[in-house]
Amino acid sequence: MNEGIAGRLAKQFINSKITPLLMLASLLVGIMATFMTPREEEPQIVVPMVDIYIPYPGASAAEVQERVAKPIERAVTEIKGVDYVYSTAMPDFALVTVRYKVGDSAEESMVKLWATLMKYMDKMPPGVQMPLIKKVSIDDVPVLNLTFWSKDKSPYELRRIAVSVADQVKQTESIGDVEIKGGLKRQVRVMLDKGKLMRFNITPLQIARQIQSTNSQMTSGDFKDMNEAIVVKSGKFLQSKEDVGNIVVGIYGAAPVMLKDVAEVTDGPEEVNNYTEFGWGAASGQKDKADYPAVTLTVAKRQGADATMLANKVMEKVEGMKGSVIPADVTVTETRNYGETASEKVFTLLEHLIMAVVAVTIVVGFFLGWRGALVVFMSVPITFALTLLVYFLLDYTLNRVTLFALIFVTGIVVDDSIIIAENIHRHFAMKRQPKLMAAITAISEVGNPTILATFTVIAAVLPMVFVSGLMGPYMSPMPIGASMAMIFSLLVALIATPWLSFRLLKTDEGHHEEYDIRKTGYYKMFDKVLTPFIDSTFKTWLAFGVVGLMLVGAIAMVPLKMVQMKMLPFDNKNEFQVIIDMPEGTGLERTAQVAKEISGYLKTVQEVQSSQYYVGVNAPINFNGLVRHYYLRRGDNKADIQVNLIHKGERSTQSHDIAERVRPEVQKIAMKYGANAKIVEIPPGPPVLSTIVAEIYGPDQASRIALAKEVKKAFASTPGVVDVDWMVEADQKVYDLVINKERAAFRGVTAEQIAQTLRMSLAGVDVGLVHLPDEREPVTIQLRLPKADRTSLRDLSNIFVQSQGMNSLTSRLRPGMQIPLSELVTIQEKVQDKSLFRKDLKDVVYVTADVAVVTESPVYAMLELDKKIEALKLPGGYKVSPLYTAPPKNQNKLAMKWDGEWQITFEVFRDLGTAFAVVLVIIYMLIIGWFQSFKTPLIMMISIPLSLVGIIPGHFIHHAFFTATSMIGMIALAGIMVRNAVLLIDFIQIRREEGIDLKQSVIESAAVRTRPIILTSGAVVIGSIVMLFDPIFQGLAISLIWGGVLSTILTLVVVPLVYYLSEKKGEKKRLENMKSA
Amino acid sequence: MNRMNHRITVLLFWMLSALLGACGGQKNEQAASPSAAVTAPVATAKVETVKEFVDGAGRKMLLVPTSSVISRVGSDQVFVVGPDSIVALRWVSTGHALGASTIVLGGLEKGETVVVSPAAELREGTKVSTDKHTQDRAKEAQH
Repeated sequence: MNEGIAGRLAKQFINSKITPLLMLASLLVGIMATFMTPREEEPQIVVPMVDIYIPYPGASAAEVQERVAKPIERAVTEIKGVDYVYSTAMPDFALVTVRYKVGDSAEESMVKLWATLMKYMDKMPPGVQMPLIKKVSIDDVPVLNLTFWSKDKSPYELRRIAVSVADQVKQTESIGDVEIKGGLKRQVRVMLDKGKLMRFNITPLQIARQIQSTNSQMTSGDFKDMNEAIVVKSGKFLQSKEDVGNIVVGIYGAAPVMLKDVAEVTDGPEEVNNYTEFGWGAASGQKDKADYPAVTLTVAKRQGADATMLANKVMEKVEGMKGSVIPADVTVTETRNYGETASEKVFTLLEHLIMAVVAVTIVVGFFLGWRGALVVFMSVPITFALTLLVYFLLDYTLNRVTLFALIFVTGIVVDDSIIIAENIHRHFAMKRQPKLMAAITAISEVGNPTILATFTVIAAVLPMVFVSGLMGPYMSPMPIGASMAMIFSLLVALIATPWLSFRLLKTDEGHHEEYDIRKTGYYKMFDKVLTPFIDSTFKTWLAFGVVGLMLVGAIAMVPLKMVQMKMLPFDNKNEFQVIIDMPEGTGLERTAQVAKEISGYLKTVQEVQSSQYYVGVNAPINFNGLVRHYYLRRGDNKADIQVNLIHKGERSTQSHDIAERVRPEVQKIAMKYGANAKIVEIPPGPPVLSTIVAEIYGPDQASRIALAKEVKKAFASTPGVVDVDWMVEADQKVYDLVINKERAAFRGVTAEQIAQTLRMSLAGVDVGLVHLPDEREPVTIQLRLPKADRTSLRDLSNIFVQSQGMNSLTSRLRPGMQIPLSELVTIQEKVQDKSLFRKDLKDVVYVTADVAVVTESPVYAMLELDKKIEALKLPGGYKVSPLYTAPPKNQNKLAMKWDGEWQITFEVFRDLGTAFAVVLVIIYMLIIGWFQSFKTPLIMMISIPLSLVGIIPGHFIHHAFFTATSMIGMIALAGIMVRNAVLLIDFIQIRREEGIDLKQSVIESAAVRTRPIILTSGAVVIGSIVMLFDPIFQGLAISLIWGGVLSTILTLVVVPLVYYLSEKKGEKKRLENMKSA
Repeated sequence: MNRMNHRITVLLFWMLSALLGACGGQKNEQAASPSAAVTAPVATAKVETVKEFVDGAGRKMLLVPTSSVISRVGSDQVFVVGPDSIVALRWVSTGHALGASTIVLGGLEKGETVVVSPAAELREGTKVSTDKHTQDRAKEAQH
C-alpha cells in the first residue's frame, strides 16, 4: 500500500525518542503562553473613530452647518479609507465624527485627517477656532470604577479625596486615563455685588482686567557680578482668596477700592453643576438604603494591557490608602471591575474547555476503551497549548472571542486524533499484521483523507476572516484560531497520536477468530436499513421525498416566525444603565429629582446591588457610550443611572430579563415628569446608535421633522418597540438680547463690551488660576453674579458697562461713565436653535428605539413598521417605503432608511452568506482535486443542506434565536459533514477498486465508517453541550448539536444511497472491465 | 460485538438525556420586590407646604422656611414628604432669603410639603407623622 505523507510521517515519529519531548515542550510553552497573554473581556478592536470639535462662537446652528460642518465633511471624505462621516451642528459649535474602515491603522488615519483638516483651515470663516481632534478607542472605556461615598462628607470634600487617590493610582503600571466623575472642584469665586459695584462706580470688565494683570510673575533675567549670575524675578502670583480680595480694582473718591469691597470672595466648592449619589439596593443586604453624595474615580487601561492585573494593582493601592488619604468615614465601593469579570469570563471559558475535553474523552472511551480515550485526551491539550502560543505571538489577548474560538473547535480538533486512533485500534483488533506494521497501515489508510478532511474544515471556517464592518474584528480571531488549532491537531494526529497509540493501545485479547466485517453489529444494521432501499428504486425515491419534505418543513419555520433571526442575543452582565433626558431647559434640581426617584425604584428591585445616579454629568461610559457619544452628555437636563446587579452566579434571572422587567416602571416614573428614559445594556457585539434607527432624509428640515414625527408615532404604537426617542430637541426658551447699535455707539460702548459683560454676569468667566503648587487640580478664579441674583431679566437692569467716552470717537460722554445694560439692549424671546445632523453629506433626522418583550429581534419590528410607514399620507401625495441597504440616491423627496443593529446584521449575514458560498466552491474544488470527478463532490455536499433539518427545529425546541453564532455553527458543520462524506466515499472507492461489487462496498463502508463518523460527530455534539448555557454561544451550540446529530444520521443513509444510484448504471460495465483487465 | 451495541445504546441514552436537560435553559423565577413602605420607621416632624409668592413687580417665586433647608458645603437639600408620608431628600437650588423664608429656584413645586427644622437623625425613607394642626394648615395653603 502507498504510504503517503501521513504514513511516512508516522513511520518517522512512531518510535522516535524526540516525539515525547516535542509533546512535553509544546505543553510547557502553551501553559506559559496562557499566563503571559493579557486577559480582558472585550476583544481588542480598533475602530478608528475620530471626533473633531470645531467651535464657532456666536453662530447659529444653520450657519455652523453651512460654514463649518459641510466644508469639513467634504474635506474628510476626500481621505482614502473613510467609511462614514457624521456631523452635528449646534449653536456655537460643530462636531464631526469620522469613521474609518475597521482595521485601518489609527495613527495613520490621524495623520491623514490632520493633514486634510489643515489644508482647509484657511478657508474657514473668521471666528472659527482651532479644531480639537480626539481619537476614540475601546481603551477609553474605564475598566475599574471606584465610587467614594460618605454620609457626612460633601461632594466637594469627596472630590478632593478622590483627586489625591487618583494622583497616586496614576503611578500604576500600564494604566490608561484616570478620571473623576461628579463632585465639586475647588474654586475661588468672586461673587459680584451689583449694589456695591454701582456705588463704587466699578464694572465687571474692569475687575476682570485688574485680576488678570495682577496675576503675573515672570523671570526678568539675571545680574552678572563676581562670576555669579543672580536671577531676577518680578511680580507675584495670586495664591489665596485674600490675595484676590485685596486687588485694587478702582478708586472711589481718594480711596482705593479693593475687590473684597465690591464682591464676596470665597475659596471653596464651585457652583453646583452636578449631583452624584450612591445608594445600596435590595440585594446588597444593607439596611440603610438612602442615597449619599458620591464621586466616582474611573480607571481605563492602556492598549493590550491585562485588565485583571491592573484592577488588582489599583485596588491594592487604594486599600493601602484607607485610613490615611481616604478618611474612615468615606466608603470606597467597587462599582465596576472589568478586570474581575474578564478573569471570570476567561476562567469560565477555560472551565468549559476542560469540561468539553473530558466529555469528549468519555465518549471516545465508550467506543475505544479507556486506552483509546487516553490517547485522545492527551493529544487535545497539546493542540490547544500550541494554539494559545500562536495567540500570544500574534498579540491577541485572551478575551471572550479568542477563547470562544477554542471552545468552538474542541469538538473538531479531537477528530483527527480519533480517526487515526480508531483506525489503529481497528487494525490491531483485526490482527492481520504485526503491531508496528498494522499501525502504519492504519495511518496510511486514513491519513491522506484526514489531511484532505482537515483542509475542508479549514476551508469552511477561514472565509469568516472576510466579514467586514464592525463585526469583523469580533469574528476574525475565530477563523484564525480555529484554523491554527486544526492544523496543529492534524500534526498532533500524525505525530503524537501514533506514538501514543502504539504504546497505549493493546491488541484486543478477546478476538482470536479471523476478522469478518459481516459479523459486526454495524454491518448487520446497515444491511437491514440500506438493502430495502438499494433494491427498490421506489423506496429510494420515497426516502428522498421524506428527507426533502423534512428539509422544506425545517426551512418553512423561518418565515412562519417559529424561529426568529437576531444578530446576537444579550449576554448576562452585572450592570445596566438608565439614560434620562428631560426636555431641554429643565433645571438641574428637577432632573435630579427624576433621577433620584427612578434610582429609588431600581433600588427596590430584588437583584439590584447598588445604584448611582449622575445628574448634569455623564456616568462612566460603557462600550455603548463610545459610539453613542455618551461621554458628551453634560447639562442640566441630562442624567445617567448606573445600576449594578448582584453577581450573576447569585441570581437566577439574566440581566436582560431584569432590564426588561424594570423598563415599564422606570418609564412610568419618567413619563410623570415628561422625561425620556432609556434602559441601556452592554451590547453583546459591536455597539450601535440604537437597536432600531430610522434615518429620515428629505429636502428640508421642516418636512424631515414632520415625517420623523409620524415615524415616531408609528414606533410608539407598535407593540414590542420601546424607548422611542428622536434626536430633535424640545423647544427651549431663549432671550435674545439685541444690542441697539446706534444707542450703544452714542454712549461710547462697544458690542463686544456688552457681550462680555453679559457672559461674565451669567455664565461666569474664569479669569485666571490661583497658583497653589500643592493643589492637584487647578483652582480657577471665577467672576460671576451669585445664583440668587441671576434669576430673571430684571436682574440685568442694574449691571453697568463703562463708556469709553470720547476715545470711541462716537460719543461725547466722559470716559468711564456707567451705562446700565438695560438701556442698550432690547429683549426678544426666541426658541433655541436645534442641533442639525448630517450623515455622509446628507441632512438627516434620526428616530431611535429599542425592542423588548414582544419581539426581541429588530427585523420583525421593522417589517411591521414598514406597513405603517407606507400607509402614511405625506404632503405632496407620495408614499415613503423604508429603504434597507443604502441611503436614497437623491434628497428631493422624503425618504427613510433603517439603520442601527439592522445595518450590522445585514453586513454580517451578507458577508457570512458570501463566505459560505465561497466555502462551498473551495470545498468542491478540494474534493475534485482529490477524487478527480465532478460528480462525486456533489454527492458529498448533499449532506450540507441536510444539517438544516436539525439546526432550525433545534432552535425552535430551545426557544432560541437564529444568531450570527448559529450561522458560524452552520458553516463549520458544512466542513465537518463533507469530511464525513469524504471518509465514507473514499472507503467505498477503495473497496470497489479491490473488486467488490457496488452494493456490497456501499454497505460495508457505511458499516466500517460508522464508528469514526459517530465518534467524531459525537465529539462535536458533546463538546458543544457546555456552550448551551452561555447566552451568546447558545446558537452555535444548537447548530452543532442538532445539526450534527440529524445530519450525521441522514448522511450515513442518504449519501451511500445517492452514491449507489449515481453509480448503478456504469457498475456492470466497470466490473466487466475490471475482470477483463 | 453485542457488548459494543450495548455500549452505544447506553451512550445514546446518555446523550439524549443530556440534550433534554439542556432544553430547560429558560427559568423564570421571580419574587415580589419587597415594598419599602412596610418596613419604614416612623418619626414625628413639623411640616409646611411650599408657597408661591408674588412680589410687587408681579414676579412669581416659591418660598420655603429657611429652617427646612439643610446646607451641605456647596449644595442644599430639603426633606420632602411624599405620598404615604415617607420623606425623601431633594436637592434644591436656593436664592435670596425673604424674612424667615428662602426663595427656591429649582427642585420643588408649589404645594409640596417639606419638613421644617429636620432632626439631625432623620433619614430618608422614614415615615413622618405630622400633628393635626400642621396638616390643616397645609390644606389651607393649598386652597
